[in-house]
Amino acid sequence: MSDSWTIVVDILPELAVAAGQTGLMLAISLSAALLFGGPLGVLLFLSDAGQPLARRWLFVLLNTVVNTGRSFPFVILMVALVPFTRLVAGTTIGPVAAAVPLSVAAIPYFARLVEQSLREVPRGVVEAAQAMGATVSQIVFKVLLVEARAGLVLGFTVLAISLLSYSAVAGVVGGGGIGDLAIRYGYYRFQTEIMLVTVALLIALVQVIQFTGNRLARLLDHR
Amino acid sequence: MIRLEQVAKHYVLPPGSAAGGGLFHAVKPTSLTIAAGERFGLIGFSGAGKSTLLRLINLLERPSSGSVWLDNQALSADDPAALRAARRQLGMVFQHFNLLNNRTVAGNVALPLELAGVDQATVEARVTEVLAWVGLADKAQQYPARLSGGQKLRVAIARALAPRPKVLLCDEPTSALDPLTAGEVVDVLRRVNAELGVTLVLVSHSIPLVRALCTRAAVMDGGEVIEELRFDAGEVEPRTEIARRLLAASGVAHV
Ligand SMILES: Nc1ncnc2c1ncn2[C@@H]1O[C@H](COP(=O)(O)OP(=O)(O)OP(=O)(O)O)[C@@H](O)[C@H]1O
Ligand SMILES: [Mg+2]
Repeated sequence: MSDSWTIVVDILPELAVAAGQTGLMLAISLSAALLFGGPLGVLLFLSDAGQPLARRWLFVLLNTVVNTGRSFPFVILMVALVPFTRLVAGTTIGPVAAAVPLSVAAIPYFARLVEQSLREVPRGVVEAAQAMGATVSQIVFKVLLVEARAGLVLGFTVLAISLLSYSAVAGVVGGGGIGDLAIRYGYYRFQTEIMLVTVALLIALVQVIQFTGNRLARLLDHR
Repeated sequence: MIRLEQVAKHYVLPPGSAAGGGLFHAVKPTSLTIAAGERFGLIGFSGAGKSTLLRLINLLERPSSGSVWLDNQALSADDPAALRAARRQLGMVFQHFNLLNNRTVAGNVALPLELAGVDQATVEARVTEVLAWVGLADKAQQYPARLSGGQKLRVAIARALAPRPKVLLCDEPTSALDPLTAGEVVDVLRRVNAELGVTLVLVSHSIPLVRALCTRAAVMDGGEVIEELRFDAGEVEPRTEIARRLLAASGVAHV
């Protein structure tokens, strides 16, 4: 028992570093999702039939891009993107490098979640804005994003949790992070205690993310 | 003020549908003139094309043919800026109100003004004024989900009136309300016309409502205006079977 305790205490500094790496991977890829996936999702929604920017070719194009991006298993995406990662991050190891394939996975994923949330906004509300003389950008910023915001927050929460789990995979091939720690000590060195601690940390993180997302969504939703 | 010249709307039916493709004529070529300050009704049974015709007036439906004129200016989707400006003259109240759930009552009423780029102070003053006018001053900070149907409708009316439109287009505004609440709304709409001089265009299959509010109504059937009724010239004498049935259905055929 005291042995296990020592093992866990000894690992704490490394665990803190690993948690920081995971945080960095998530911060970068979630930012990329917001920055590129958000607009992509809005455009995907707007270009569909019956929507304010309905353009068949654009919708088919964006839809194909999003589906293709989402069809790669993350491990394969990571390997396939190695040259691109080297180009963008200058290296293929470390959390910043791992954030590149994570971002590439996050962007189409979030785009789809955004598109789905916007579909939940009743058509009549958009029509009311059109009848008031709203421009397309006003419809997006003053109506769609406002009315869909609870769904958007929940979608973002789903994305954050998925990326936390992807980041563990990215960690194994040199990204670092909590998942990497679990594999290195818990799996390769049979130190079950460390495995347990890291898994407990991941479980706690997922709970916190989901709880925060739910709370925020409830605060924002007045339906 | 509003002039429809041979406006028509058809939908292209998918080849696989029951009708086996082809065109569905929701509104056949129709011409109408509604004068400034008038209270005009569109009545007919379900599916007659009333809502489609109303929505053609502010181009929420694009005409398949024909033209819509507002104060001698033709509305066209090809000139988005001009269309947006014209739409600000044409307030609209929807059957299901279509309020924004995540904006307060005041926020909803402010929306058309914000969209028009009105400055914050003016928006606030106008919102207070319009909400007081419809009797909802005390509900300004509530969210629509907490309001009754009659209150939601008054918010929708206040929102439509905020930018001082010349016309109010109403699609079955009272169909979701009980008779008493509907009566209160009739009073509000009558004041909209009498006190503010706003032209009313009202779609309804409720003859009592149209009689109470309108001086004149077009009876629609199968996408066509088949008769015009006047309610300001004594006894109503319907010529068509449809109009007779509409009047009979509401029990006022021999008023
Ligand atoms: N997008 C569409 N595609 C095909 N048909 C349509 C479409 N929109 C409306 N229609 C048809 O046009 C006809 C007229 O519809 P409209 O909504 O104008 O009727 P209405 O008189 O308002 O009826 P109600 O009293 O039920 O509201 C209906 O038969 C309807 O099914
Ligand atoms: Mg209708």
